[in-house]
Amino acid sequence: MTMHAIQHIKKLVAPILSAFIALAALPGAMAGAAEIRVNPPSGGVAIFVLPAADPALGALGIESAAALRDAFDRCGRFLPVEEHQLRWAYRGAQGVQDDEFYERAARLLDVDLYVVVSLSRMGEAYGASMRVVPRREELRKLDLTARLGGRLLANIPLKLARTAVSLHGGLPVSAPVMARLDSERYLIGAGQWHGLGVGTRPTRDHGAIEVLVTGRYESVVRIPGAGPGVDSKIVIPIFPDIAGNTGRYEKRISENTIARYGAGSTLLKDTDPRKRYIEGACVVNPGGNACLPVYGAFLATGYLGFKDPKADATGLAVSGSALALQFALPSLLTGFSAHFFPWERDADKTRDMQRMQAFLWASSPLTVSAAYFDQLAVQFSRSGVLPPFFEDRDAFAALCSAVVPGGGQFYKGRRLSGWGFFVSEMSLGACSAYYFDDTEKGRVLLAALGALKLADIAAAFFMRTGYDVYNRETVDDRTSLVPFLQMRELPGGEGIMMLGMSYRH
Amino acid sequence: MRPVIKLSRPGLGAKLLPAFILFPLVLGGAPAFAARPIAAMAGIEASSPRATQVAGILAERLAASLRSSGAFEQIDRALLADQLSRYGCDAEACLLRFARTAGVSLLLRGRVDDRGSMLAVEIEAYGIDAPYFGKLLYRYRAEIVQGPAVLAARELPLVCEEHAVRAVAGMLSRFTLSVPLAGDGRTGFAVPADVRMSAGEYDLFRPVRTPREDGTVRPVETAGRIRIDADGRVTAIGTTEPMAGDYILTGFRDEAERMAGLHRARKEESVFRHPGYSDALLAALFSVPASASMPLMAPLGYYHYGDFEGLALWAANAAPWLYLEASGLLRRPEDLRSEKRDVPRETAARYNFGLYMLCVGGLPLFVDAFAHRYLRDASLYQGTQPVVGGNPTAVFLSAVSGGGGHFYKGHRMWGYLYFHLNNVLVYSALREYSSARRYDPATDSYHTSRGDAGRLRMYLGTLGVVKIVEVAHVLSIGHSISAGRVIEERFSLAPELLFDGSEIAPGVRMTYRF
Repeated sequence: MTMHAIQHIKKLVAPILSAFIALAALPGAMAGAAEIRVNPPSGGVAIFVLPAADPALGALGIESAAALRDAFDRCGRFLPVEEHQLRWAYRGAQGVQDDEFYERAARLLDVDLYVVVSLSRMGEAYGASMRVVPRREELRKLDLTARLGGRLLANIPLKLARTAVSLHGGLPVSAPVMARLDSERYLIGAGQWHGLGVGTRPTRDHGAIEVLVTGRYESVVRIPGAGPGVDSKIVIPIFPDIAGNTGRYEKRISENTIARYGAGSTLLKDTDPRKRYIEGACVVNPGGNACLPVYGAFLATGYLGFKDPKADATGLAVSGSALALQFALPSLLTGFSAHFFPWERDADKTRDMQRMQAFLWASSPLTVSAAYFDQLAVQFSRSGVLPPFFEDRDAFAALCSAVVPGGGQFYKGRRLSGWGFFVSEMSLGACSAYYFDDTEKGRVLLAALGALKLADIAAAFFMRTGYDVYNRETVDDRTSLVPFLQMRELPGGEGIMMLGMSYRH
Repeated sequence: MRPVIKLSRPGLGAKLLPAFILFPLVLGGAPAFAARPIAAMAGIEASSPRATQVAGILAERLAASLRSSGAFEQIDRALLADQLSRYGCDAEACLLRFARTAGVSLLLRGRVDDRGSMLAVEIEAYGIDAPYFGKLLYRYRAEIVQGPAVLAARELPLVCEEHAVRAVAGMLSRFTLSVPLAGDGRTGFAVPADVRMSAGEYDLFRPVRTPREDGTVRPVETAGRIRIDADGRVTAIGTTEPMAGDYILTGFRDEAERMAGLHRARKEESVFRHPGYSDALLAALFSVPASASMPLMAPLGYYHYGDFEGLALWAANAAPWLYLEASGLLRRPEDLRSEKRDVPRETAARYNFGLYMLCVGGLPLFVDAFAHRYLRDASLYQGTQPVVGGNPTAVFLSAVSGGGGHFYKGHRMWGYLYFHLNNVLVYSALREYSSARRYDPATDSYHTSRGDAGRLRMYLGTLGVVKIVEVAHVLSIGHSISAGRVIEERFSLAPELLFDGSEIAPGVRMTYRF
């Protein structure tokens, strides 16, 4: 063996071999250990997934456990128990059944809390039940049983992770004092992983402490005065980023749902659905309406490849009425004495009336566009497909509303509010055109129209979509705000109507 | 409560423990062979077969990048991966324990997540020794938008290599190595010969001895300053003499910059045709037709290439200027004069502005509609791109139009900033330059009133300064040809209630998101 090879062994092979031997000494890596207590400085969480006979559920179980570990890891409060430690605990807990098995395994591991996940399948739908069991009195409030469901397999682990993140709301860092290093310096069990950085931090019981050095899970702090005893806990008011972590999982759930139900993966696989959508709105729909007003809006939806589309009669009736009113309103207001065409003016048609008529005629393309978006909303809802641009739905809806009154609401599948904005904006627009010369009134009406337009755009941006296929997968049932209308009978026999919003916390 | 792993019955593990302690000592002891820091690549997780393919290539390229940096020794990846998976050691805490035991200074691990339309790459680097004590020191995140061409056999390794180089360069620029001082063979101290350190003055750190000496975090104190000469010998500055166990910190910022710069230059060489001045000349010849046709050609260009973000930005940003252009050109001062009506200054200014937009004002948006696509292809190594990539063209576009050079280099937001700034200044200057003409029926002639010459000079001066800044700026930035979107570390601000004893104090929390 040459000197170079010996050097190489010394440099690279020796440390790795020694590390492997250390790994071999880890709990679960060997059969001989009879008792192992794992209590990481952060406080640990054991994640148990009930075994399933169905191979798909088995794979889902692995994904779910990984997603839950990721969620707990990101929140930085309960360090997930490692796989080899879990394996060891399983062996130690053998001989007891069901719930007691997991309780015993958790006791062996001495974790702060444990999570038991069971998965099920009913036809195309998947379900998950998640039970969180705290093992410390101070964590009692984390006791939770949640049931989740959905049609997309890939979303189940993400929903479980989202639920796990929500557990961490308002949980400060509770750092155990691990050693006293000298008169004022202590080693505590919280570090970068918990969100702790170098600097001064107020604490609940020990005033301001100075964090001198941080590691990943531990830190050296200076605590003036008598200081805490070893094994006591210091509560530092640093809280996990719930919104950020929840948003991360919600984004993934949304992406998965769009990938499955988006127009690009269902209706228009071989073409760019975004181009189709724009061509449909800008070319096909105006052409269709030129040939067959209003009904052309429904026919134009066929360009997006819907199978067996059916026209929505209500939408056609509303848009047809709106279009008819736009063309006929000046005639109706003047008792059919004024000239029908806006470019012709006679004695019965005042300048104001002519201006309003010009506005109504010129805005007729907006009406057929609204009719088209309305019919599209119906077709997308019926076929369970999400429209193109759905990944940027808020911005695109706002853009639609900026161009077509109520367009963003139609885009998001909210037809009623879409027609509400459409009728309001068009009415205000017509009045503004009529009173344009009357400076005061015209100005007020124009300002109102501007305000309404802004409200339309803002509502389109912030409004939740009306597509069930998307909402079913993405909305967190446990915490969502749900409107309700209820009839209730009082003890005296008197009935009351209740209208409100419920928020499940 | 400290972490406890208690083995109550002496078994195989207990028998192995002495071996685990003695083995490295037999082979020389950990500190002695840590001359060059050791890096370990703990594997890259993948969520699908496609992601596994990318993860494999990425791991290879990361190892190659680390090797080419010359800063680290590396543990054999295959052996490491095999052993880690055999012992089920994939959690962060376990990996850190392993790294600490193995004398590893830098631990890398990663993840490739398949999200259908894109691949999300995440690479994390942990520093094991002081001053990190196992902390995550760098996280690199990128999103590679997938097209069929991205995953082609030729492009994929190049895309992976780019991200590997950038991740390693980013990590190196932040990594600080603790270098223990060793005896120089005589009476003094020196840095180990294998460690590359430049001569100069350094802070001297002295670990504080504590009851816990198990390699976890411990207090560190600055003992003083020392000077290191070209031979690596140490001289104390001031009264504090170095002691055994003291260490200094050194970084790899130069290596990081060199790596990143070299890779960037190589990429630009391979994806641009480098036309030099001929393209600038061509741009000059076609600038007027391009500018005049912008209102039609730009939206068609965006639409053709499926750049809907560009189309939306164009619609929102171009609308006010196109309105001014159209109103100026449709209501010409000559028409008013032929009707013997007054010509307000505003009308004359709009007409002049319309001419400006027709000649060069629309050029930047024309450039954006097409350059963006070429740069996208260049970023994904889709062949050698014509037209784009030349600094002379960028300078010409910036000099004659607002933001043209920035659009040409793919920096859309900067482009729009300069575009609006330029147009505001040009319009203001033209408004002062244009004359109002009042028709006098008595003499059948026009009285001309000029604008404020002082304000005109001020606008022109500001425009000149903006142009100089814009040209300098466009020369100082590179082309936007990153293969995918790199997600930067983010700061966030949030209100917070702090408990101080019995009092609650409102505060603001600034978070550095890893």
